[in-house]
Amino acid sequence: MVNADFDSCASSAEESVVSVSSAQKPAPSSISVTKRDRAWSPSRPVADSSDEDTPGPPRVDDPPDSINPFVPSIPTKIQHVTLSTFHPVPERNVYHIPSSKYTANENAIILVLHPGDSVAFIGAYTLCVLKGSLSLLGVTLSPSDQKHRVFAPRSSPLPVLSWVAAIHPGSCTYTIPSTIRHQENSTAVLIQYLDTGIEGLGRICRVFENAFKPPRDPSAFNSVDLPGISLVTHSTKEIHPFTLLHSWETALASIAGTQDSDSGTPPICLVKGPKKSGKSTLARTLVNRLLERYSRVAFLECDLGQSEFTPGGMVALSIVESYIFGPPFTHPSLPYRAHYIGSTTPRASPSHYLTSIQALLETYKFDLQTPILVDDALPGDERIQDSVPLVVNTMGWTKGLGADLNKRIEEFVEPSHVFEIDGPEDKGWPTPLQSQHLPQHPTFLPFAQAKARTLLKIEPIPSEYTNTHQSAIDHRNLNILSYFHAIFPELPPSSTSSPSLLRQITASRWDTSLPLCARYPYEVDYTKAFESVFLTGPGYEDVVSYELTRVLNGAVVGLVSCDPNGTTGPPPSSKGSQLAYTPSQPPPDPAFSTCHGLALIRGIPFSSNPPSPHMHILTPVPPVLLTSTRVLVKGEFELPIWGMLDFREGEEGGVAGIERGLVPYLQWGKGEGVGSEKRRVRRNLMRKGQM
Amino acid sequence: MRLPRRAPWAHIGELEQICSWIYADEEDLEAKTLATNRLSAWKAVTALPHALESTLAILAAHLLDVTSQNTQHAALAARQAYAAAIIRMVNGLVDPLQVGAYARSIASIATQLGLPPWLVELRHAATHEDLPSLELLREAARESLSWLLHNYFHPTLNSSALAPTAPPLRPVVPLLKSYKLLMKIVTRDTSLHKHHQDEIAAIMRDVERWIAEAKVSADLAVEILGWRSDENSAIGQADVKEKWALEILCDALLEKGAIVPLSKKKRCAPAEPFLPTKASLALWTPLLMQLQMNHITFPSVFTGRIISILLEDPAESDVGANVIDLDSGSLQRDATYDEYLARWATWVVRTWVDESDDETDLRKNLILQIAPALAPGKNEPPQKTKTLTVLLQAATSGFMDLADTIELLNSATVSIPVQQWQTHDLARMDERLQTLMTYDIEMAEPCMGGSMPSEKGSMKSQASLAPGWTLLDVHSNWKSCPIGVYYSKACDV
Repeated sequence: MVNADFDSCASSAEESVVSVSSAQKPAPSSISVTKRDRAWSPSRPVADSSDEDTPGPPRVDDPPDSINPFVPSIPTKIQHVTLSTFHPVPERNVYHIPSSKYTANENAIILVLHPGDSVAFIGAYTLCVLKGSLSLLGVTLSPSDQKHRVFAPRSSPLPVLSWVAAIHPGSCTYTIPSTIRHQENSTAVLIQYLDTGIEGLGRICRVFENAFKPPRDPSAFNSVDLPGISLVTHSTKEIHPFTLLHSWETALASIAGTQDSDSGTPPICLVKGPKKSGKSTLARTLVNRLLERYSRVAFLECDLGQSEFTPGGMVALSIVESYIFGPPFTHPSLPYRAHYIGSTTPRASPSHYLTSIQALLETYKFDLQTPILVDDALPGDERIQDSVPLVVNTMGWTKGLGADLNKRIEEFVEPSHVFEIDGPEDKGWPTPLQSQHLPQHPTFLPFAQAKARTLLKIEPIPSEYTNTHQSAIDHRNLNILSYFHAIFPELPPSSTSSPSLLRQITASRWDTSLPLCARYPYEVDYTKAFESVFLTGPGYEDVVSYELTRVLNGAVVGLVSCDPNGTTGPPPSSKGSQLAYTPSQPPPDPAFSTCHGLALIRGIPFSSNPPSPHMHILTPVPPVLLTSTRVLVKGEFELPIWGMLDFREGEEGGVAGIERGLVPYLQWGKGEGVGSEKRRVRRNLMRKGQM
Repeated sequence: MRLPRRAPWAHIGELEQICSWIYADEEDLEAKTLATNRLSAWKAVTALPHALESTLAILAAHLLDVTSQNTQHAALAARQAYAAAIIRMVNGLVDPLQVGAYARSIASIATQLGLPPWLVELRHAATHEDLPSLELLREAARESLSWLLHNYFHPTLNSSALAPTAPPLRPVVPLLKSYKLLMKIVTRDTSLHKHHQDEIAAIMRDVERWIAEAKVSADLAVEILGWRSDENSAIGQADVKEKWALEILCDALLEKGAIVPLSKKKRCAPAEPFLPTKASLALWTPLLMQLQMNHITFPSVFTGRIISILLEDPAESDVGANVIDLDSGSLQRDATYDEYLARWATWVVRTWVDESDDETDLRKNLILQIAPALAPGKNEPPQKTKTLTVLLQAATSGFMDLADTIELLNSATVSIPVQQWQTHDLARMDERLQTLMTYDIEMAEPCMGGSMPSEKGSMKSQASLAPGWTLLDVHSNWKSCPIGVYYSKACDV
């Protein structure tokens, strides 16, 4: 256990436990708070909208009758919940703004929302609050010039824009045209279609086809005369609204305002819980909440399978500057620092996984927690700049070794707030001892922590809310494909090593005009570009040198740059036309390396004596960062089958003009012979005794 | 859409090479090392078929055994290696066949697979009892390799050699016949309904049981199963199996004498509504409703089969040699049969659409399947075209956007008398193309921003590129090719 005590003189361990579940929400007796009561007070009415906003500016006293749009709107049944109480009437509450001063030449509409109004759209759009306040996905927006990007495909819970009482005057330089009638307490929002090309991903990964199109049931949507966006009136079998459970709301409220009294160290939040309990949704909402007060939030991803900002397969430390309004595939980002594990689970390399996370935490503490450079405050931005809170998302593997790993991570992180999602008992999530003993014996602390720690236990997302049309694997595949089709903004030439300057670098567009097989690749002379290749995965130790190119052909690899000072001994460098590779070599030390992203080696000649030392590579990583990429790491991570297909050839076609039977590495239809399938594991088989 | 699966080999010749390395000469250790190295590399590429993974494990154990014979403690290491390889091979072969909720005995499954029983015994001994002797394990390894040769390598390399024999599935037609008989009695005299209620319910249950059986036999007939790409294959395969079972059932339903009356007289129904006769509906609706309740895909499978029958060309089926012995009637298109099937398809589309969200899908799929046959330039027999046209109209009536498209398709099928080519013809064709294309695009891709010119998004100029990196472009002569193919001018030769 790591007990770094140097920056904290708190010798007595403090732990407050807030245990909330919706069944018991009004009973204050079920909430036990020891020693320090943070933010959440049972006497405060939870249904007050002030619970969910920023504590930074002095709060305008809310009218006592202001309604919180969340609490009443929690649906008890998922079928046909009304999403939009707002009924668009042109020139009354919807105003069409043709190519205006707000924007270059796109069409835009202004919605005027009155108290109690809510509205939900499907599609990709930007939204800019001109007047009043608006809440969506658990965030309250005040007027500003910021155009927030919102991605609302129907494959994820739909963001509902709800009117809330203005809590902050804000400052928006856009003026509302005089033709628009609005009342004192109404909210005006500018909505524009956001053209990024993201809709094209549905053609590539057909599971998500039409994800941005209106629902099939024509009665469920309403046109707002803005191409690409449709207003959804009520939920259907496949379209659910985003709902913030009551216990989540309460838990999230506890981080607001906590740190004001503290010594300036920003909160470090850790989210844990079993699979499908809503961990990543909570982590995302948490980041958004923190962004209401801080201009930057750091995000440490420990979930290799369902990563928020990276395509997966790596632990990554990312910087977030703008609200995340969309599922992971809509915001692939370049990590500040990352380490490639090469798999969707740390099962095969637990110690490398832990070392990598430890290295990232070091980076956070040294570079990010209290950043040196503070120069870019926008006028009017009152958010905290000189400290950066951290949100840690853990993996959903919470049994056996997974539980051990998560425990170690929690020890490394030393979180100030732990958000623990309770899983059903049978999922094997062990009930921590603390939560059971602390309420009864507040003085007895069996697991003393050096720092104050708030444990917030919350309930999991009910299974009705989770999408059943696409599996976790479908979402992961889409993440990877979204990454490979993404276009990242240009980086300044100086940012050679870390994609730095503490910026969030998120894909701005997607090029889906061509399938991967038809995109012009980089031709890379690997004797010049790379120093060495590492293979990491179970059994990969047995790959001999002369088979290396065979392994790399068609492989997804991590692009890693190593600090030359850090490597022990001189790195093997490529000689002649060979790639430098030593079997059974451990992957680069996380302390001295970082992974910039992934690349697909789309072709490499096999022969041991190739005519030229070249390979063809596809990668969205900006060219500036490729200079420092000197090492390739190949793990178990593979390109999804969708990425190998050619959507231009239709359902029955082949790939890139080659007919089905002749496409290399792909096999359609039958697998003959016994044992021609890969192993399937069944864990739910019952024995005779259980009959 | 059925996805292909990732294969470790570029073409089957690569597997053949491995096979010959392993089996050509049992004493040739060098060749076996080559095979082991290649298989290890493949394993690092993608998950191997279980048979190949077992082959690799046995070969590795064998090489360990042979090369380390004079070193200390070599025997134990070799025994462990052999034992693990054999345990894992048997388990991996048997596990996929544990399809029920309860475990079957491994021995019974192994018999079904044709796996030598003593290997199963050895698996048990190696797992729970004393580790078997080196001699026995060596023999088991040899036996396993030969079993793999006959049951995996041979069938895979000569795909038509010997398909695994699926146990015969009992025919479903008798079930449908007895259902029809009972229902006839009941519909003629409703007072008898109560009397036969239980029997009808029993038959319905039996139909469901038949579907369950068919699913299992689908599992054994490995060759019908494609892989869904990932771990979610369990779900995907369940779907595939169910679809397979339903297809067989639908084919039986669609045979003359089932939902289509045997006598042509009984097939006469009023032109409007374009539906089966009341008598037919009374007979078959209970069964069809139950099938739809229990199997979500039933409507689409059912209409799919109807349409494929309607689109079938008698001339085409003639090619199959064994058609001759069928009754001669089937060679000639039976217009009333076709029409009656079309009526059923209309019934399905009208009955089941409103209950599911996939409403338009059922219709759209129908149109998409039929449209190519009606496309201008297709010279289908007029009778067939007529049936299809009527079906299309009946199925889409009431849906404005769909109906428009159909209208256009139909107008195109009316053969226009040869006439002088005039400029406005071109304009008209253009217009038609536009309408069809906009419709097509709306269905195939998002209406906005779905694509954009690749130049816009492509990477930056070469100047800023890292040493060794060149971005290929139009001038580089690079051509698009499947992932895993290295295209260069040198390769082009």
